[in-house]
Amino acid sequence: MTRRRDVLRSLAALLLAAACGRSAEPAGTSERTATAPRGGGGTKFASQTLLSDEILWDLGPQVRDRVVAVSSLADDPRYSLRPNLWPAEVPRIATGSEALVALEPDVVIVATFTAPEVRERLTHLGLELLVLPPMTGTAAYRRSVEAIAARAEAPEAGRELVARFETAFASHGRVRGIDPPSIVAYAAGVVAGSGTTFDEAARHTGWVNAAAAAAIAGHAKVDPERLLDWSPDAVVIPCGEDCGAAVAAFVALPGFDRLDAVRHDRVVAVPDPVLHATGFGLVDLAARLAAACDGIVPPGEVEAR
Amino acid sequence: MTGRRVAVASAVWLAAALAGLAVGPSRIRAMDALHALWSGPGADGLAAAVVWELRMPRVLVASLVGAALGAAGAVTQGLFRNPMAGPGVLGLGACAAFSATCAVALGLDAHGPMVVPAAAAAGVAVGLVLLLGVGRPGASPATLLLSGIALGAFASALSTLVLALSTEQWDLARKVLSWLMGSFESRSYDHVALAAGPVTAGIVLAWMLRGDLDVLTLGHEAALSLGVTPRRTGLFAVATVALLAGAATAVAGAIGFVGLVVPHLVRLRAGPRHGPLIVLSALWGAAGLVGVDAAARSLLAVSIPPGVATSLVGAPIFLWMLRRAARGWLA
Amino acid sequence: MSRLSFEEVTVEVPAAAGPRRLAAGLTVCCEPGTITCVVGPNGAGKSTLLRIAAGLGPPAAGTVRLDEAPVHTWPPRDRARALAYLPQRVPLTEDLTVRDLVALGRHPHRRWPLGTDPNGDEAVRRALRRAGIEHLAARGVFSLSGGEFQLARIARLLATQARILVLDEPTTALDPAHALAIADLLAALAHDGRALLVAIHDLELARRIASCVVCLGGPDAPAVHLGSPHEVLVPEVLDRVYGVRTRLWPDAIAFHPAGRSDGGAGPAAPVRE
Repeated sequence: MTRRRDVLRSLAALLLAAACGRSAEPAGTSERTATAPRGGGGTKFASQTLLSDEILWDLGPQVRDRVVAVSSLADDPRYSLRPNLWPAEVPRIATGSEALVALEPDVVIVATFTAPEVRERLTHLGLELLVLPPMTGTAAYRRSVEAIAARAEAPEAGRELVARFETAFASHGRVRGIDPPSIVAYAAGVVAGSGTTFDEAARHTGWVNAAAAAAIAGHAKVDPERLLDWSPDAVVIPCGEDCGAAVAAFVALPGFDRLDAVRHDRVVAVPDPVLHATGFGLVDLAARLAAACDGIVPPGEVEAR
Repeated sequence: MTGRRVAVASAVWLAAALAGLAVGPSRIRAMDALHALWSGPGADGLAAAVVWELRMPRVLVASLVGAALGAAGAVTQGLFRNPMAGPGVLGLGACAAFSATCAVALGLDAHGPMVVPAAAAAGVAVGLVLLLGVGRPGASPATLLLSGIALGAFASALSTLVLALSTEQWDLARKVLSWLMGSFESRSYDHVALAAGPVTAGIVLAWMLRGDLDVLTLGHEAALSLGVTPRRTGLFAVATVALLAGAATAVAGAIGFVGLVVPHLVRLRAGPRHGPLIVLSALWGAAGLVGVDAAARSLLAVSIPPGVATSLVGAPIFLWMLRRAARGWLA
Repeated sequence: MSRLSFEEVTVEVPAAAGPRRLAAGLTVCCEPGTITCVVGPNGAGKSTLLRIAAGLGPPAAGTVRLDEAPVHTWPPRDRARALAYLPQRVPLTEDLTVRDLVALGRHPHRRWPLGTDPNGDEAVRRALRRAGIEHLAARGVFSLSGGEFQLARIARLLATQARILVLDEPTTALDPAHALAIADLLAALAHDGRALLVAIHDLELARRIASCVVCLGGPDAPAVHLGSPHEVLVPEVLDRVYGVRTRLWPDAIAFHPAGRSDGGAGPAAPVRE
């Protein structure tokens, strides 16, 4: 323990020495937080993924108080569904930065996609890593919640959160008879095939994911010709601030005016953070997909699963 | 002889273009595609959409880009009398990449598909002005070459700087990288229209420079005595290369190796005279790029950038050529 | 008929301590049918003088006139049709065929914008024939011997149909047979009515072909020795200019180190070829 303190102290000193160059995470922040850490006792968490930012908050005030850092993307509206969720005094820390170490967390929550050298270094510095599973859908979300809740010694809060999520998600479930409409998520040439969050949400709400039906697994770049081949009933595209402009830009792409989805005005623009949601945002995605599907298949045939 | 070579190259280009129109990732059959081609662009149906809306602009853009890079490579190698010179040595590609990076970093690419091409073209124009203006007025080809290399290094460093300073934008690096890799994806007739004028003008200019470039092979003094001013020729040649490479880079991003390898292969068969060299390099550049793109699209399940495909095909050919040349010199 | 006339021409080369004057007050006229040879030791300014004669730069003082106008003020293409210049031999970077190399001489005749040249093929054929290398027309220049390459370069000059030829050391680094062949060709070209200005190292060849000799350099520089071969290529001039002792034979010139007395026999025996 004392050795670790020494390591941390020398790191902090190094940070101070290099303070001028590091505007994003000034050494002053780490100094302050280090001397007056958030939360009284218990395990201190530093979250390095958007999903764990969200789960830690949703686990309730008991857990929230023990969070010493959230990810640097937490407030970015392009990626985060709930920007400015966390109070300003919780530092936003970029992956693997020295400032993170200076906050002296007990557990750092990272993802499988976190760079191996970053994970290696954090482990080397004596920090415990909690690695979230690949974010492929509701099952992964459930496992992530359970893992974090267990480590935070709040399994009850975890069970509650999972139950709340599953009820909400299930409420958008649809079955569309023998010939369900097809849909494709298309983001700058990349489609979401099987084993993606989109695929699960689409199937759950009664769609056929045309990309998965064409044996595409994961996110893959496809030629625009294949999209014309599939000619799905609807296309989902991501959008930033101006979703109308995103639809117009998609329709203007060469050849796409011949798509059934375009002809029938079924290009659904979904804000980036919703389309790429890995956590509770999946409910929002499912709601949008269900609503879009209700517009194609008459509501009379729709029956809740 | 030259006439026959031009006819062969044109036929190969035409065949590659037909192949590019007939086959692709779509499941429509090649015969249906050719029938749709025959029926004209107005027809209804999937085949017509695929052939006329997707494949035709793609083939035309690939042809224009290949022709531009081939001709630009022939002019560059002739001007600098350096077999390793390609259109890239003038640093104008790096200027295009820098201004495209800036456009993406500033979020201008959201304002329409032609913004980044326009920014890249503007970058080439500014780079050209810098190249000709910052160096001594009327600099010799050797000075131009060195200035170009310095300009390219500077612009590349600036691009990297922009990327490094924009760590907050996760997808900036992805967008810039996909632009740098070069692409014919989602190219429309707007891209064809943007490139057609400059590429045609550039090839005509290059062809008009052929005699001057031939005379430059005699050396500086002899060229002067034959009424060719190397500095003036250099100025025109650099402007021509900028026009050609700039238009190509603007519509398709960075595509390597075509400008370097194609003129060399043509030179091996058709000799060093610039008239045939420029025309044949343009034709073989177009044929090569269209052919490689069609082959990559129909043979591979994944979509790979044409810049990667050309380098994958071009680098081994180039190495084989170097081996052959070395053997020739040693013999 | 075209002529190239030097009027009080001064030749200078840039040096660290300001321009160095190599020749001054040179007044000579290259008439049709004559060969004017420029001789002198290395660094005497022969190449610089020829560059000026070819109109590639103005003289430091005086004027070189091509017909009436100073040669460096001629429009380059017009000048290139009237006067052809052969620089010292530089290796080619491209393996052109001999015919293509000779055809480069047609460049100033090509018309804008299509580069048409109705008489081009005929002029190239005649140039090849005049230089006696028709049989080499389809060969690549990289495969030629030094002498053949030099003939091809001279044919390139002839293809311009210029009446004034300026040649810088056309015989240097050639074996005696090829050097003689070139010299005979030059004499024949002058006999056709061209005016030739030739920088030459080989004084024997100069004496063989020159109508007029310009001798640069030596302790008299920037003054110039000028006159017929019999006036200039004599021991009195050559000893001073080259700093050696010279012996003259009917068809040979022999040199000995200046400090050494000439015993009459041994190494001094003149040998022809």
